[in-house]
This record gives sequence, structure tokens and C-alpha cells, in this order.
Amino acid sequence: MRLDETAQMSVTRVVRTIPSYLAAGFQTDYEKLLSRFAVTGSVRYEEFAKIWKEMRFPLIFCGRSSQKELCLFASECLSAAQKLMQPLYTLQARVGALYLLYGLYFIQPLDPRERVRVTLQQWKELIELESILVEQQHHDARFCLLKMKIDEAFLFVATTTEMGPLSLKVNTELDGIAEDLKAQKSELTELTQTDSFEQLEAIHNQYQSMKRALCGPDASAPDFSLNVVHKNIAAVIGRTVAERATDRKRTYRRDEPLMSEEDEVIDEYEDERVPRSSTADKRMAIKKKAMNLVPTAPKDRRHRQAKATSSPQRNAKRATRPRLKPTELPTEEEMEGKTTLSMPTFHVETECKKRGRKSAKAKASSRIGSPKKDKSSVKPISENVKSHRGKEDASASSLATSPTVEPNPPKRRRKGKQPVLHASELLVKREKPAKKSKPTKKTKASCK
Amino acid sequence: MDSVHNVGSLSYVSQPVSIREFLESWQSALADEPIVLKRLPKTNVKQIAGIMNVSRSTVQELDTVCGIDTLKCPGQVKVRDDATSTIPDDTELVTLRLRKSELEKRANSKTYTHRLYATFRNHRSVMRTRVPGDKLIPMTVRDVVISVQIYRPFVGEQSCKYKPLVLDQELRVLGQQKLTDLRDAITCVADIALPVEMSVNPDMPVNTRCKDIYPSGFFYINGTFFNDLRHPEAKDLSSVIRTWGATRPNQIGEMREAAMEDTQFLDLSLRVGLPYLYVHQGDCEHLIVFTDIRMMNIEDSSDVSKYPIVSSNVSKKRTVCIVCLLYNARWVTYDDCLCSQSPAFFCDACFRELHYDSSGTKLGPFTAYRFYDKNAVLP
Repeated sequence: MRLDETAQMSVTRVVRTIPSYLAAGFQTDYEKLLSRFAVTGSVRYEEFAKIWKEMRFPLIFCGRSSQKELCLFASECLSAAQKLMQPLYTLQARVGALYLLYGLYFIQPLDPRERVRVTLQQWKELIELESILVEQQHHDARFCLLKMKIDEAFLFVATTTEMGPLSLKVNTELDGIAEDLKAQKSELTELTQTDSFEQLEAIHNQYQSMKRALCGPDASAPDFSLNVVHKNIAAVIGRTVAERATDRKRTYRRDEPLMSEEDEVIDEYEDERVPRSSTADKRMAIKKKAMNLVPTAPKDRRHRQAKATSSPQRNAKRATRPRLKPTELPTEEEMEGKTTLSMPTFHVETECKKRGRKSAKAKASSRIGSPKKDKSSVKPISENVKSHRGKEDASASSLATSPTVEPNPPKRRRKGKQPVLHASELLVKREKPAKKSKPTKKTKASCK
Repeated sequence: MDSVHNVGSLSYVSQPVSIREFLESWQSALADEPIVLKRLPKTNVKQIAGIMNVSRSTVQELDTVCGIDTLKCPGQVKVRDDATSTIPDDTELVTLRLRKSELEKRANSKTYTHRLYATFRNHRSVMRTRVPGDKLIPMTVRDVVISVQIYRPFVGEQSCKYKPLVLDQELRVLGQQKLTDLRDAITCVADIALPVEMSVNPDMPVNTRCKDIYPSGFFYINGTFFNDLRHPEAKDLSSVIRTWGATRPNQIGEMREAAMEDTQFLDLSLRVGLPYLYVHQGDCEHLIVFTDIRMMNIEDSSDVSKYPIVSSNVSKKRTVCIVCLLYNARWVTYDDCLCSQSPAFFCDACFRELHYDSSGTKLGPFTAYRFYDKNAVLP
């Protein structure tokens, strides 16, 4: 049915998202302002105005390129400030939020001004705050609120935002957190950064006092039978979360060398660093792990160590090109040995293709790579088992000599973090150059 | 019907709001508020002193300490400033630092900027509908202002499933107004089209518009069809749907019928953000969305006769003549032997040059109708 279809279609429509959060960084700024105000411990307007002027807060509206954008930004700011006036905060914090709202409302460069949207519940809370201000004779705060009321700064609404299938959805990923400040962001840190714990504590206190009231007017503690929740639930959860966060940090650190090494290798090939997502990192790590699972040749055939390659066919072709000079071989081999430690060769391949020239590394890797056509490099599985044993033996025998045979570091390699080579590999490399020329010819022959 | 659409899972849809309840609860909440009728450019000392129950000198002192002037700081953006004012370098505000990188990003990438401005397109800007002559009404007797979005219709047989939802018009209505007031304010070219095939004589004088012949229409809001039966020839367009719905009571739920001309917005219970339907001319189907329900503010016009106020009219790219690619299309032809596409759009001169000989005889078979471009003919 047409009618039904039309409505259904509209319902499945995706709400548009702003590519980047318009009020990015505002949260950081107002938190700074209010925390400085909280330090003073007073509710006087002069103190607030002093900090406001020191921070040059009115400049916050600079650099908005269109009227609509300015409106959006102003409404974001006002709603953020208005949320801070909730009754769960202390009076000092609420008054600070009121001053912030007052400042933002009157300083916004719009005519007519963007209004503060309040629902009935929020309005009742505001009136409550006003009655406290009257009671405690805070004339300056009350004066500010009154000025806003006279200007009709509040819009009495049914919903906190305007809604609709085309309404702009705030990009919550960047919600208020400055991009350069959110180095390590996790769900947990978000949880601890928001005021959810304070809210929980406030609710819990209310709950406890209600339970106490049930026991009678003079009861100091709630009845034992009502103890179903931990006494300091917010503190307990907070501690658990903090423990988990430290755990996570430790795990993160354990991963770090692996990541940094990888990044470094990429750095060698990419002049401009492309930021990669964590998913890409993970995939890279998995691939690397998979690629490095290559059978190791036995001791007597170690000059033909199979290397991790992603596209053996192409490598075999490249190997036929007679560009390699025998004199270059040793250093290239060393380089090759190192780079395969940390990175699969397919990366090198793609880079070569991109740049339209063959890097020495690619050539080297392809030459000793394990192309399927190259019969000599294909080994039965039983040999793998042997080869492991052989490798161990080799490492044991070469341990004594290893410090003396430091290979020349490749030119493009960075100084700082060189992967430590295993002694057995050093041994392999030393011996490689001598028998180099033979396999090359063989690969040539096999390709033909 | 809500269960069919799974309304509860939609992030942009609110719970049902009864407008009369909304109005009454706010009126009672604002009853204690001091009735502030006079707004002066400077602080009204006498009034504030009365409300705060302090002396005038105290208020004057407060004004010097807490007034708006204390907030100002050099270099801030002024109201009529060029919006792209420069960002000062010596600032500790993180917002500005991020803003700077954002502006650089926009300067470097046209795609990004384009995408960004596309998202702003449908967003409202601040708007003052009040004019100096309008009188001020106290808070307690103010009405509800409802913002309504009208979307472009889905035309004909084409699959509307993958067509983007395009905003056409935005209106503001008052709670005390009838649904018919909204209907009359909605502009659609389907209403002003000429219902005559004119290929034989393009100069044929036609005075009747589609609206005169087919005056029926209905709103579908929360399971109720509100039929416009003011005109004696108006039909109940919803009867077919209701008979169909009656056969599936479990899936669709109850479908009621009411008269559009008898219903005020105050009688409705609306879900803010949920698309409802407006159907007229038999099958011209517009989605309508109530985006905001709020009390009247001082910036809103208090003149009831001005409502519904059109707050924005989203412009559409005009349809040009396919021959000259220069003038607006005035004619549309179907199954045209002289043209490879159907429908084909022509301006007046090209249409006559191509389809008729010097004596005004039709060259080959085709059907032609007058075409009205929304941007060209409607305000």
C-alpha cells in the first residue's frame, strides 16, 4: 500500500550527522572556567567576571563563517551551560553555571538572540534555585537570573531539542573533547570523566536517607533487612573502574613496542604519515603474524631460507631482472632479514608499485622469496620439524661469536629502535653472500 | 500504526505530547512569574527593585557590578560583524584553537565544505516574526507555537524508497488554529496545475485549476484521518484506506476519522519528530513533521491573523527547457514523437517552434500540459 510504504520509508531514513562537532573544545573551556571559579569558593559575580575576562571568554564566538553555524554553536553552548544547573551539583557550581549561561546569552553576536530551551522539569529546578538564592540573599546571582527572565531568554519547550528526520545529529564521537586531548579514549575513561558517578552517589544518598526514614525518625542507620546494595556503591564502582583502567594501560604498554616498530618501518617508506585506524593496526598485526609462519630451512640449506611474501608469482618475475649487482648483495640481505622481522613483504610490494620503481628491498626479497615455481624452496613438512631443531643448535653455537659480527645498519634505518637480531640469523646472514649467485640462476631457469 | 513503524526505536521521535496539557501546565507554571511587559534597552531599575524587594540604589549598584557591560572584552564579535572574523592568536581557549584547524580544513577541501554546508541547509536560523506594532501579551495568556516541516511529495509510480527526503516548507502555527489553516498555507504546484490536455490548442483559455475540481485532502495524524470536507464536492479520500485497514485490525490498529475543519491543534496529541502524512489531489503525498512545540516568545508575533507564518521556503533547482537550456520550462510533453524523452520540458517559445507549423497545426502525436515550476510561480 502506498501510504504505508511512504511512511515506512521515512522512518528508515538516516539522520544526518555533522561531519565534525561544531562546539568541539567548548567543554574543555567551560570546565576550565568553572573549575577556576570553584577554586575561589565564592558565589560572587565579581570573581566570575574576573576569570571570564582573564580567559577572554567572549572570543569564543569568533570564526564562525555563517549565521546558521553561529546559531547552531550558540544553541549547543547554551544547552551545555544549562545542563550544569541541575540540582545534583552544589550551589556554588550551579551559580557558576548560571553566570556562564548569563554571560553566553548576553554576549552571543546574534539578533535576535538564540534562546535557552527549558522543559517544564528544568524550569521547576530553575525556580527552585531562584528561591534558594532569595533565601540566602545572593542578590547578584538573582539579578542575573532576573535580567535573563526580563529579556525572555528562556524558551518553554516540550522537547530539549528540535526533532525530525532531517534534524542535525551532533557527532557524539567528538563530543566536546578536543581532538588533540583525546589521546587515549575508552569507554571507561568516558564513564569516569562524565558526572555519572556524582549522579549515582546523589541518588544513592537519597535512597539511603529514605531507607533511614522508613525505620523511624531517630534511626541512625537503615534497617538491616533493607541492605541489598553496597553502602558506598559509587566508591566501589569507581575503584573497580580505576583498577580496570590501570590494567588496560598495562596491556596497552605491552603492545606498544610491536606497534611502534611497525610504524617505524612504514615511516621509512612513506614520507607523509597517514594516520591509520586501530582496526587497520590490528589487521596488520594479524597479517604479519600469519605471514611470518614460514617453514624454516634445515641447517644445511639455510642459504635458502623461505621468506614471507604475499605474491610469489610477481616476485619470481622480478627476480629474473638482471639488475642486482653482486657487490650490493650483503647489505641488502641484512636489510631484508631485518625488515621481514617486523613487516610482511606485501607492503613493500605495494609501495614499489606506487612509486613506479623497484626498491632494492623488493628485489632482494623476491629473489630469496619462496615462489611456488622454485622447486628448491618447497620443503616437506617433516623437514620443518628438523629445521627448528637445527636452528636451535645454530643459535647455541653462534652465541659466543655474535657480538663481534654486528652487521652494517642500512642507511635509511632510524637509529633508535633497531630490532635485536637473533644470533642464529646473524650466522645465516654471514654465510649467505658466499652462496648467493647460485639460487638466482636457478630461479631464472625455473621461470623460463 | 506505531508498532508497524517501530516508533520507539527512533532517536528523533519523542513521546506523544498532548498540546492542551502542555499549554495548561506551562500556564500554571508561569502564573507566579512577574508580568514583565516593558522591555527597555537599559535595566529597568524600578521594576527590578519591585520584584527583588530591595531599594533602587541597590539595583543600580548591582547593575554596575553585574551588568552586561562587565562581560564585554576587546576583540569580541559584534552582532552585525562580518561572520568570518579572524581568530586572535593569543588565546588560551581550546575551542578557538580547534576552530582554526577546522577553518583550515575547510579551506583545503572543497568536498568537506560542501558536505558540511549541505547539512546546515535545513537548519533554521534565528528569526524574529515580531514587528514593532505588535502588542505584548502576558505569559499566562500566550499560545503554543508549533513548527511544522512539509516535505516534497513523492511523485507518481517511481519508487520513493530510495529517494532522499527533501524539505519544502517550514511553517509556524498556533495551538488555537484549526488544521485547515495549516492546509491552506501549504503550497504545492499540484493544486494550481491545469487539468486539461492542451496539445491541440496551446492558447486555449483555462480558468479552472486542479484545486477547484479536486478540493479533497486529509491529514493522517496518530491513527486518525482528518478530512477536509469544507467544499461541497469534497470527498473522503481516506475511506479506501480505512476499509483496507479494517481488514487488518491486528497489524494496523484502529483507524479513526475526524473533520479537519473542526479540529484545533490543541486537541491533538503529537509525537515531535515523527513523520505524519498530508494527501491531496488524490495521490500527492507530503510527509509532515512537527519539529517543535513551545510557548510563544517575545520574538514571536502576537498577531494571530499572521499565522501560519512561513519560516522558511527551501528553494528548488529550477527546471529548464531542454532545447534552449536557458529559460524556465513552461510546458511538459508525454510520448512526444519529436523528442526522445518522456516527460520532456520546454519553454514557451521552443515548444511552439518545435511542435507546430506556421498555421498552428500540431506536428505529430504527443500530449502536452502546462508546467508550473514551484520556484517560478509560488511565493
